[in-house]
Amino acid sequence: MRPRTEGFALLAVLAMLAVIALYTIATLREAFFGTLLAGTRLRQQSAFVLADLGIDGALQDLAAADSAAGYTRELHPVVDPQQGVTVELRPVGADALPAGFSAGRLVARRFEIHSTGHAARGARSAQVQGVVRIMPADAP
Amino acid sequence: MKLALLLLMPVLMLAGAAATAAESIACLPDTPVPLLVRIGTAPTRPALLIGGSTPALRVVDAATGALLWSADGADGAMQRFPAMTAPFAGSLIALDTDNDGVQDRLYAGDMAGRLWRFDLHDGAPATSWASGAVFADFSNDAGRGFLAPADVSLMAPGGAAPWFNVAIGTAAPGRSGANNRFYVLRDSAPFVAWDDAQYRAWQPVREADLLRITAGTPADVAISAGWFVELGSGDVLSASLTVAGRVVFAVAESGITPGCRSAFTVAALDLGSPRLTVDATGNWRQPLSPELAASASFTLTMPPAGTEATSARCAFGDTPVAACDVDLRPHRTWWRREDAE
Repeated sequence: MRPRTEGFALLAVLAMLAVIALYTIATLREAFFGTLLAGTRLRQQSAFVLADLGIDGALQDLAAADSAAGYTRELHPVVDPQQGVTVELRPVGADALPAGFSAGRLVARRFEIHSTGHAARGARSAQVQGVVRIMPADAP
Repeated sequence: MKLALLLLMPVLMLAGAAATAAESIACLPDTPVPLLVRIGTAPTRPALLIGGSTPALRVVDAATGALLWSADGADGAMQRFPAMTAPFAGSLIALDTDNDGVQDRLYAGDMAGRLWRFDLHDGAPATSWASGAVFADFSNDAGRGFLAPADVSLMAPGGAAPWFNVAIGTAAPGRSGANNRFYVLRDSAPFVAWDDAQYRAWQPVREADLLRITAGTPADVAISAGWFVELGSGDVLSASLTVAGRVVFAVAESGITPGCRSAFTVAALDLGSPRLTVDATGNWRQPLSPELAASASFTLTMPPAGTEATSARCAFGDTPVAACDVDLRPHRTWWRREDAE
């Protein structure tokens, strides 16, 4: 007659295999989500940098502009057509008494630069930069 | 005969000077100041502020020329200011201190060397539309008066109450010994409209209240009422220009020629110090050449679109003046991110 403990090793091995399988699945899952997260983060960072570039570009445009008119532009500073930036320059008002400047001759024109960077898979970053520019009061 | 001529000489000189002064003043632009006004129940309308002798000040409808308001020291004007005994020429400036599009403050310099301040009461009837009085009294026997408009700039240093710097120079065309002045006065109530009682209580600023500035090291004293610079024989015929805390002004050094021209110098005052800007040789007045029209003024020209230039060019007449170029580069104020992570 065989003892009742016969076959215990098989059960133990099967249990260990199950634990190892579960651990492997969990690790793979974590790695998969980590990769996914890193990719999303990377695209988000790309969108953020593109939005930042849009603000810098609008500031340069504004410095060289001869008027206070607003505009909306689409820019594609990188080769990837999925990536780009939408820049909107909005005039939001003027202060007739800018500190340190002749009243009536110079005004402080206020603007908002709305810049939205678009990266792959729909990642986007929207930034708004407030800007003030001293201009002659009779400038268009 | 010789003795008689000698006795008559001062009278002849004075008569000559007066004639020259009249001719000189005729060379200067007589430009009314555009305003938006609401007097009484009438709607807000474009108007023109004009200086003169009788009445001393008046506001007319810009479209029809109809008289809307007048002020004088004598009876007959819509508002009477007993001290308004001298005429006004072109020394007028109107400000909109509350940014609502309607002017509510005037600074007007009369030809006796007194600077007036007025608060305009939007919607009040013409008989009480303005409250005002002499803000600074620099009346003198030398013939100095105000021909050029004041140049007003706001100063708002951190941690201190704001004030207006009112920069204005005197002129005495035809009187070479007048020793003209360039004043920078502080109005410590830039956004407060005074009523008649407050104006009656106001003690005008006088030259004794001001600090006299020379080309040397700035005086290390607290400034309360303002300061002034002596100009010798030069006349201030046009408004100064304040750019980034620096007042640049032009002085007609040689009087005004019969052809309405003059040799000008320009000078700059740093408002923060206060200090006159000097060149390497210690000279604070830089000559402009050649002679310019006596009516010349400071102009600002935007650079052509698409160029790399980032400043508006300042010129007096046709002559560039780098000291008042305006930096057009935008400055960041606030920033926010609108996307949700």
